[in-house]
Amino acid sequence: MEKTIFCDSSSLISIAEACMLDVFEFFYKKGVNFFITDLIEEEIIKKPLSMEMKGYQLSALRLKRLIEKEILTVIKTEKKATDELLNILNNIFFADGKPIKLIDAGEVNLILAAEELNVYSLLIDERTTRLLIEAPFKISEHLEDEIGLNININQKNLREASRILSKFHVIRSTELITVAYLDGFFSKYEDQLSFFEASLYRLRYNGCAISFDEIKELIDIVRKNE
Amino acid sequence: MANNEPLISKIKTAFANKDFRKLKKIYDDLVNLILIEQNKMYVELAVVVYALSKMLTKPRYYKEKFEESMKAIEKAMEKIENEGINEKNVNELKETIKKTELIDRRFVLDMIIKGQLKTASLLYAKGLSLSATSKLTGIIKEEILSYAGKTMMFERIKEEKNVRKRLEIAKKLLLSD
Repeated sequence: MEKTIFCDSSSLISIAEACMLDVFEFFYKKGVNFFITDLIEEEIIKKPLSMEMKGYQLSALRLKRLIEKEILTVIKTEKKATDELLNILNNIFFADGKPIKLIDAGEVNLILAAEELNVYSLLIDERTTRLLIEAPFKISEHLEDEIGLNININQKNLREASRILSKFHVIRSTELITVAYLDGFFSKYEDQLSFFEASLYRLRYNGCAISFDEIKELIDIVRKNE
Repeated sequence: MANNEPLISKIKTAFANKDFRKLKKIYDDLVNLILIEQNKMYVELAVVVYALSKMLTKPRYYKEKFEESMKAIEKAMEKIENEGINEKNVNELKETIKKTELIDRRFVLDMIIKGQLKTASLLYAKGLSLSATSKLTGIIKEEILSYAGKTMMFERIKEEKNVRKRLEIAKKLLLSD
């Protein structure tokens, strides 16, 4: 499917909390489709709207509106397939002979739904799933540093995971905003570069897993291109 | 969970000795244990230990008006020591801590909630995915991301794919041919 991206809850949350959901409409009008799963809809809209704590309802309402306007498309998923992949991914890294269950249905469900539609582009701000797709050995190193125990790897499960995951390309909300900037998203502002730079930091403070060095690098790349 | 009784004894002794450093060490060990065991009761216990260690760093809790409440906390821990770690007992301890804080409340977020956020954020920083962290701790993703974004956790792992490469992917995906 041309120009279709499956979006994880982490990116939707950081973009919503940074008040930048307009970026989805901006790209939608240019022919980009954004898909989410029913599980993600549950997490980012239904759950916050049903909670006693009202702090995140505004973002949930704004996201709900994107679905109503068909800018975000919700894909229904099956639990059984999710459980199978979940079992593989959660039995790769072992400490003290026990599997470290790093991933949950929310993330796996997204990957499977995308694969089913032959879409291999993911928008994920969350770090662990991205590392599992791009560099699982880094997770092992990180866990060893954090827990102070040797991490053993089930090579069979790692190979199976890589077979499924290596097809995917991942971008974060910060890259989404950078391309939007390059394509004129901030053109209504006189000082668009400042708006763009501030947006990157805002996304980071709202949870997009990007380091400050990476933000500076992104800004440098954009400045050099101008 | 009878085999965990030494753990509650350690917590109780450290609290009685006003040893917040020891409690902090117990908390750190518990968080590592949670990463492997994924036990919700350990999460609850870690939250309590975090709150207790924070209390001991605040001079106001050593004043006379808190004396009775501090004893009630010790008593609640004694009950766990005698009856074992279970949901009911740990909840009682949490409620006793909350009541103590209410005697002289200073912040909108109480220490138990701060402990929940801190524990969730640490588990996420150590490597659990966002969904897994949220499910295990009961903290919503929005809260975890908001907390994590203000820490330095994203500086701790160098990304495999550099920014330039990721930007190229994004351009291909999003821009017209």
